[in-house]
Amino acid sequence: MTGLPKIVLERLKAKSAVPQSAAAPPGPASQQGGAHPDANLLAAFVEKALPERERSQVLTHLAQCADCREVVALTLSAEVDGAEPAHSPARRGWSAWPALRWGAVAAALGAGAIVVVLHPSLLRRQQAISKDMRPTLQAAHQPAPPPPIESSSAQPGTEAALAKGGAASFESSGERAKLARGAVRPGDQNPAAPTARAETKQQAVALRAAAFPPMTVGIANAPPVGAGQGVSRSEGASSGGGMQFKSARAHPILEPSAAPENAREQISNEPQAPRAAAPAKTEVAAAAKEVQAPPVGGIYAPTAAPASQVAMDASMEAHAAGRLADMASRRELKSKAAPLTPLWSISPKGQVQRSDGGEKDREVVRVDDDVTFRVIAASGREVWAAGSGGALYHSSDGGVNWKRVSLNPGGSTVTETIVGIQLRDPQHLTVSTASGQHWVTEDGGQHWQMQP
Amino acid sequence: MSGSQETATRPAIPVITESVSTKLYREAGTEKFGLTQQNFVIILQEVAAKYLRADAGPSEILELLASLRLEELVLARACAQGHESAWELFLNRYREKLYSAAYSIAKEDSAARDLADSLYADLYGIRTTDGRRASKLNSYAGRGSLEGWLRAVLAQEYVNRHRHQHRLVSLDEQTEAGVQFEAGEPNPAQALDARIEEATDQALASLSAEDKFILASYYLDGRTLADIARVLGVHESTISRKLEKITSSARKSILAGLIKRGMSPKDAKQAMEVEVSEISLDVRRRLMQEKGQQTVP
Repeated sequence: MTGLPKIVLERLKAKSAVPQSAAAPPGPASQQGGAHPDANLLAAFVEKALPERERSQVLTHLAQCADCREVVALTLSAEVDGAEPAHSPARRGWSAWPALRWGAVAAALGAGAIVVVLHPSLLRRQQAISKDMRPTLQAAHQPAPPPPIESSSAQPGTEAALAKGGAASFESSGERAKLARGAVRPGDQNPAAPTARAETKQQAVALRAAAFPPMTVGIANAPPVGAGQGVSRSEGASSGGGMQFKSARAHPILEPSAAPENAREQISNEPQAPRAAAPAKTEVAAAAKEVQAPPVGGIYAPTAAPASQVAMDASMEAHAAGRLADMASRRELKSKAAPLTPLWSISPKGQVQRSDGGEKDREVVRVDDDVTFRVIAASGREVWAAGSGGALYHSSDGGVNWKRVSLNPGGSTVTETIVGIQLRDPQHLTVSTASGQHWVTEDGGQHWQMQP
Repeated sequence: MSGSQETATRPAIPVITESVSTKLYREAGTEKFGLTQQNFVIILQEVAAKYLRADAGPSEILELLASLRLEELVLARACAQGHESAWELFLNRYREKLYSAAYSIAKEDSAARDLADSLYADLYGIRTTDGRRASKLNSYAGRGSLEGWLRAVLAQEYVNRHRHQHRLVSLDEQTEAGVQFEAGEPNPAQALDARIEEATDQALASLSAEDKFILASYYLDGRTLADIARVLGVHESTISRKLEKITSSARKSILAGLIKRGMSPKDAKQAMEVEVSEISLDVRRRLMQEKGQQTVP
């Protein structure tokens, strides 16, 4: 990336400073002499519901007002997080059945036992890997004996997921959103899941070793570290988990010469990290290289720090790692020219509009000229749009063809405006009407039931 | 109604024809909350007067009215007037979302609850002005969704509180914080040739509002590409490309400005090079400094 002159930052900062008059009440509310856009405008801006002229005015203000940028960011984060519960029932699925849940645990244990009994060499090999890794990481000047594992082809994806997942753990540990820039958003994929990526026998062995580390059953059944969004808030609060995620996030995206501190951190946490066995060879080699770099300012000295300091360290780390992950993301974005997924929105005039996500203007998609559309939800090529008069439209081909869907084919037709759509997956959808009715389908819109 | 007195004192009341108001009144389902058409028109006039110029034409008024979330506007105003079934509906639809949004913003249970409870009290109108309940729902104008407005109000309140707490930090703590976050070296920008500052200001002034927003969000606020992309409704890769383009054109523009102000191309380049650095690396270095200061006993 081309460097930005510092002077530009200094001037931007100077222009972005919010003038604080002693008489003015604190806050970016519109009541402050009209200096800030009010909550109506900011909400409409976030929802892309402002006409171009007003949008431009709000953007001009946002470019100069750090507080309003913060409000917009928080509003948007609440919107994204608020959508999360819509996904959770779908995730529950089979695991909500106790018999199946415990059955799965028992099956996993059984599979582990079979592997150990039938292939004792595997256990020995795995123990050898674990033993070999720890001393190598603790005393990195000694070369690590190469474990019989080749680096996984899934490594770049894993890196990205880990980079994001770590930041999510900080977000969950109570840091302000401002300090958790690289947080994983709900719905992010987890490319780090240690499944089915192994193409060779050796990789399969490595993955099995990762699934059954020489620890307790609880750890063996813990979710993969890369699954950042799966980390509960209470889990994030435990210091061990936090540190693991921190190192897991920051390490993979750094050049060895640029990241001595991350290597040191990884070393201090390695014994607790169950994921370490899988991508062993490359990581061990990289860590060995990294550790040779000189330590920086005692940042990661393994001494016990006060809680406040740990929290601040965590926030700083989260911020730094978020930016570094972002840099990695920028490199990735530059290197690939993947086709862009269309972005759907409702225009201020209540029309469905689509954008390629690039710099081109949004194009209006004519669905029904008689309907004032209010909400739209999309997942891949599945698009649902709804609005006045109970109109609900569905497209399963990315918006090329639209079909009107009746909410209540057996009874009286819903004529109220539809004000909410929650699309969990192509089959499960909930729509809400202006009067507070919720209609649910579990078969992609074939049949609907009103929720009590 | 409180809105009627406010609108009565406005110099220009936007004209809303009878046919338009009747149509909108019916579409918004206003009747069920006991609002008369006259009250409804007053609400619309109030909104139009707030967001349109005094000389706005009928087409602009119509365009604005068509973009309003009328059902939600009517619901909010009915709640503000104490309509029982409106409150029931409001609570049914938004109470859970309000607390969920507060949690997303505050990231901590007690702070989130406090934030949501405080807003809830404001919405209900527990506080009174001149003996009358003043519900915050009266300030909802239907420009975006009611849910989005609630989130924005929560976010504003959160930022207000944060800033208020920041102001209450003791002088010692401020000094300490100042030392902690101050760069350990003199700021070279302060010792700069005034021409660099002028050229930079000119370069920044030539950027579009969106470009400045992207720069400020990325470099000052530390937002990720994904965050910025979500705000602007574009893809992350678009922001990445834009950032690259803005940065590069800002450099060129400043260089040209310096040459125009009498610097030789060589000096101008040198002046830029002194000040140019990968901001990301700079951030890393600064963070490392800070952490070093914290851990050294």
